[in-house]
Amino acid sequence: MAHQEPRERHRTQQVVGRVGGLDGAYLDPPRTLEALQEAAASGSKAGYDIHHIIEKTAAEDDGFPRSMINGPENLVRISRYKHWEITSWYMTKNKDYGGLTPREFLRGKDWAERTQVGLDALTMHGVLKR
Amino acid sequence: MKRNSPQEMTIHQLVQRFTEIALEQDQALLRNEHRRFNRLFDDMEIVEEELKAREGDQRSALLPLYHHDNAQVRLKAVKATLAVAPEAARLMLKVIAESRQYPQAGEAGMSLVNLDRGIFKPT
Repeated sequence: MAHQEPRERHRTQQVVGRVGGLDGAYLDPPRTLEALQEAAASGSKAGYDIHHIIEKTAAEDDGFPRSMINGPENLVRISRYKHWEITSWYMTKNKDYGGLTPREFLRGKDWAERTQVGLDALTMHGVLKR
Repeated sequence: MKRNSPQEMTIHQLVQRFTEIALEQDQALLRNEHRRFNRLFDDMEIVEEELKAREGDQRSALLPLYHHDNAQVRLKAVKATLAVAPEAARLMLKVIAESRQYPQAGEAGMSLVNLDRGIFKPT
């Protein structure tokens, strides 16, 4: 096994513990939006979650119709641990947004702006290739 | 042990406290402890505000943390110094974003996007 710094070893242990094994999900290379959407449409898979590009609960709270929220264009299948990392980013306070969480910042924003943030988050977390 | 208030701390102590908070944030992220992270975010803001208020804006004292071993410490030091060292900080954000060391790489990438779009305006 290649040498790992303690912190990296800790993170690897977390991934193993949480995802149930390094089966490749967390280490997937970035994929196109179409590929991620097609994977979601094909159903569930061990080590992966169906991720809403626009956050489901926040969009429901702001009155967007469920047909849009759960529509195929808003769903991608990504590694479970990546899903948690992105959700965590949405839930934590951030200087970028004046100390609000991204979720709070997006409250009341339109579908297009939420989509832009959702796609950027997937890209910057190494999931989406654009 | 009672901790000094930020106003009573030296610049060196404030930098030390900033580092401790960032390391605690890292642990909170690893454990998905969002409430704890958000409390630590507020603690860090207080330290940054104190450094900013010191004569000459002493947030520049955080610049050596760009070379810290821990990615969360590096990321938070970079974001805290965007107003005082914009070119160096932006370059470091790009380095972190390209490091693939997540979740810090993800936040750094989003910060670059937000700077470009004018959403993030460091002051």
